[in-house]
Amino acid sequence: MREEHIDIARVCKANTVTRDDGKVIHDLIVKKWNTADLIKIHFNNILIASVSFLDEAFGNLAEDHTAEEISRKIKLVNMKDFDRNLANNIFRSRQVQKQLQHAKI
Amino acid sequence: MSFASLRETSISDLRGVSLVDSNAINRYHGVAHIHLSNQTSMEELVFPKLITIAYSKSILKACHSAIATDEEEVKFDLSKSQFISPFGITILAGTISDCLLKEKKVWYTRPKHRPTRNFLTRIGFDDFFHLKKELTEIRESNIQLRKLVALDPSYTDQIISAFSRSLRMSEGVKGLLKLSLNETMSNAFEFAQSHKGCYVCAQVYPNAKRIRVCITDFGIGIRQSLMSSPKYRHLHDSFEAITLASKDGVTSRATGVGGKGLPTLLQFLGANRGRMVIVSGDGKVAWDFQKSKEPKRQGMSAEFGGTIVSMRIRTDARGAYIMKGESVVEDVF
Repeated sequence: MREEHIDIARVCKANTVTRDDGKVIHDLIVKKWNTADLIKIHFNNILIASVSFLDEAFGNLAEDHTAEEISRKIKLVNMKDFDRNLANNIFRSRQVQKQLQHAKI
Repeated sequence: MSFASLRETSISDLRGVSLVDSNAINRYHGVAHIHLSNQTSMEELVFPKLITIAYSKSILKACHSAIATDEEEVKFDLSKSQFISPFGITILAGTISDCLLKEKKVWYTRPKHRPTRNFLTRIGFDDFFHLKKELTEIRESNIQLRKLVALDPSYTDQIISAFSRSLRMSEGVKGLLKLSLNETMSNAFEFAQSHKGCYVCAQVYPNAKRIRVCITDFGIGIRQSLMSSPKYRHLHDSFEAITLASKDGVTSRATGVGGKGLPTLLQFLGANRGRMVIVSGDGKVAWDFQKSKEPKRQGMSAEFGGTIVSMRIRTDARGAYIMKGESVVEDVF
């Protein structure tokens, strides 16, 4: 099994707030998606607390992947419970939004 | 005029904020015009003893007048002021900055009341306009006045840290408050279309067992912001917009993600039995959870073109703040 690692502190340093900051992580995930069986993203217990960052980094994944695919492929390591709940809420919102869009079509 | 150029201003500089002897010219209470001997007319604003959200109607009217006036000079007279809350600090800073942007000559009279003068120095008001004349100890209980043009997570951390020194909170509550403050401040950049950023400051009052925080932006206001989304085009007035913005998940973001800032802060203040006042457009809505769960509405005689979120948090509770049960929906991450 091929594992890839993304270290938030090393990649983002203190920039964990804006959509642009989140896009850096999203782009790295997309880049590694096809070559890795498991992508471990290390948070080192940093508190993110930013909807913009988490939506851009992880919420956007709902556009192209199912919850099952993401659960299987991505592991968020040492992420604060608060951020994990927030990321889950954001992902579910994105899923609902996607379902609504399909319903309109 | 940019703030950076204020660094070079002096009393004789016509473009900066100048200190003025409080007895140098005749003053009127309230908003008044006076004429100086050199034929230059001036808008003079004499501020009341208490510059707090409770007097927002008259204070915002005065500030609106300072910005709207055709006079070339505006004087902010705080000589009688004895208490200035974070609401007062942010609204004064924003109004003075706006006057400077319009290239008005701005005069400023310090409060005669020494503790208030010292407070303005400690909170960073003097530094903000480069008026530093006397050194005063900076205490940890101050979150100094800041103009934010983008989110600054370290500044939010400072606010949370000040809260933590006065309130016992779980990590979850701290995170939730950080998120909510970030969301509320980011409204000024994402939705308010405010080129002027937002002004924030907070103050801990250990004796009164209170924390006051105020976030003020000079943008387009909540109603206009929400109405940019087709979902909320029906909004009739500022009250309806403010009340709607306080509900969970209400956002004009196209993605529909967010809208957690104000409702979460309100939820916290409800548990805390604190107070929140939101002023936007011609509406003011106040939640005083010590008295009632129902918000009170007040019309504003002068429309405020942005949004003010003022909070008063009680620090006299003995217990700790923790979050209720987490979501039971199956998690992805």
